[in-house]
Amino acid sequence: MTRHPDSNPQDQAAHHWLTQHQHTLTHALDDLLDVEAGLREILLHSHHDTATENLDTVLDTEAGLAAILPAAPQTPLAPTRDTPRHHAGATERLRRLTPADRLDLRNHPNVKAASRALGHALAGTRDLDRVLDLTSIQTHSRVRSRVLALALDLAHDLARELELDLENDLELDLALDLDHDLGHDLGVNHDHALDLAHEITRACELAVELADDLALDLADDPDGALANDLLDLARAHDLHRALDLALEIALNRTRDLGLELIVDIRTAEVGRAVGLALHQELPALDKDSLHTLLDDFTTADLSDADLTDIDLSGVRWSEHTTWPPTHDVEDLKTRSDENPPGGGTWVVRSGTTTIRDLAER
Amino acid sequence: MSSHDPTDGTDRSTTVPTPSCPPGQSHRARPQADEEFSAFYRENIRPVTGFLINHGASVHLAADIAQETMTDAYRNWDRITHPKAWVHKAASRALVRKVASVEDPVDDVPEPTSLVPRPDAIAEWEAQHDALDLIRSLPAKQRQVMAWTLAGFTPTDIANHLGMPTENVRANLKKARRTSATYLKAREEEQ
Repeated sequence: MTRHPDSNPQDQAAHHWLTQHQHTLTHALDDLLDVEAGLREILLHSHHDTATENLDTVLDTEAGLAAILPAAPQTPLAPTRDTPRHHAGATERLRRLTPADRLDLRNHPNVKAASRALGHALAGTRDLDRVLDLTSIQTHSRVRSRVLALALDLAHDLARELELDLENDLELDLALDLDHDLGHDLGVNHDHALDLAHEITRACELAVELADDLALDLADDPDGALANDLLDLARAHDLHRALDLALEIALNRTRDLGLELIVDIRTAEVGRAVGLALHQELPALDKDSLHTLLDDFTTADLSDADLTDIDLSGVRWSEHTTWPPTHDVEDLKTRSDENPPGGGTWVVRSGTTTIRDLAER
Repeated sequence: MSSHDPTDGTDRSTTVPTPSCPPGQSHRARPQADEEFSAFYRENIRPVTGFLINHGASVHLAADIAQETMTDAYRNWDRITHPKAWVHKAASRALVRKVASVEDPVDDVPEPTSLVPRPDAIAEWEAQHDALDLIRSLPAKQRQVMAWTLAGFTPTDIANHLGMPTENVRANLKKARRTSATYLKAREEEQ
């Protein structure tokens, strides 16, 4: 305690009593308080804070934050679909890539391979059989379903067309033919032949419908010539040949459709390869965006880029492209195709020739 | 600012200065800070709890506030030069805030905590210490001054910490002692 109380005995007694109380209180709290547990609680919380701070060495806080924050504004690399919130940081990352970064990216082995496959698909050099072999079962089913749907459409068109040219005696003609062919094969009598003729007539009507629809469908189509042949056959009542031709048209269309699917798949593979190379999940990019990212260097500043062992095949460049001082631009021009002609932009041809062929000069 | 901090050796201004970095930011200074704080905690957690009980807080509330205050002290350890005064002052303010915010007290037994693992033993313990009844019966200001005095602080210290004139402190202390004396006399006469 501190000062002495007044000399009044009662006050002294009270002082003594309270002092005793204080000692008793403090010691008695031993029965109630677990001091060591309380101390551990404080120290453990503080040690946890330290451990949390150390997580900065393994956590990319900014990346995590970027994944949570709202999407960034639209960029030239805007994806085809609405940008998910977690792709905002990735789009920004793409936008910040330097031309040199993009050159390295396009030369990444996985990106290069995926880009080559996409190029083939775009060139349409793969036929439907190989396409179907290389696509997933699901894609194959989709293509097959599409072929069947197209064939049905064509059948309806043909039937409609045939109906327009049907004459009243066609039914009898058909019946007689049927009698001769089917009656012989199926053992049906003449009465039943007429019923069958009605069925065939109905089929012809449907075929005309199909042919008519197809004519509309293919009016501006490269297969338009085939469509005319198809209609001619339908009018000639040559249903078998008409349907064969319709199926061929359907398959052609399906091949184109299949190639479209393959282009979509190959585009996605390029996007995925880019994402893997950048160690970041990217939003879906269409082929135009990928072309801009990987091939379009028409205004790029590559003056500080190291082009050693860099494959420039497919690179699109122009007079506005700034190359490294030591790079032979004239030589590059000889290895490029101007596309479009006279347009001032070139695309480097495939091949890795880097030494200028003086013999040609 | 009072330079008198009773007791012994807990005035860190006279000890070897600790590196000026909060716990957790310098791993080298950490063990030393932990050791100093641990010694301080073991020495003072009970007195601080008692200090709050003397203010009129229930034992459970006093232990809670004492633990919170000690936690804050640990976090600010490198900046505190007079830890005993610091925690008493902080605890006192925390109690005022808590009392001001609490509505009607709850009757059920509080949950166990690290510091108070057996909250059910509190009621029995309180019944054994009749001085608590006296202290809790004192008017607020007298109770407050008495609590600080029983914790070992001088009227001058108390005046500085509570922001009141020293004479007011002395006057309240005197009244508190007079009330205590009356209470004690009456109790003796009943026995």
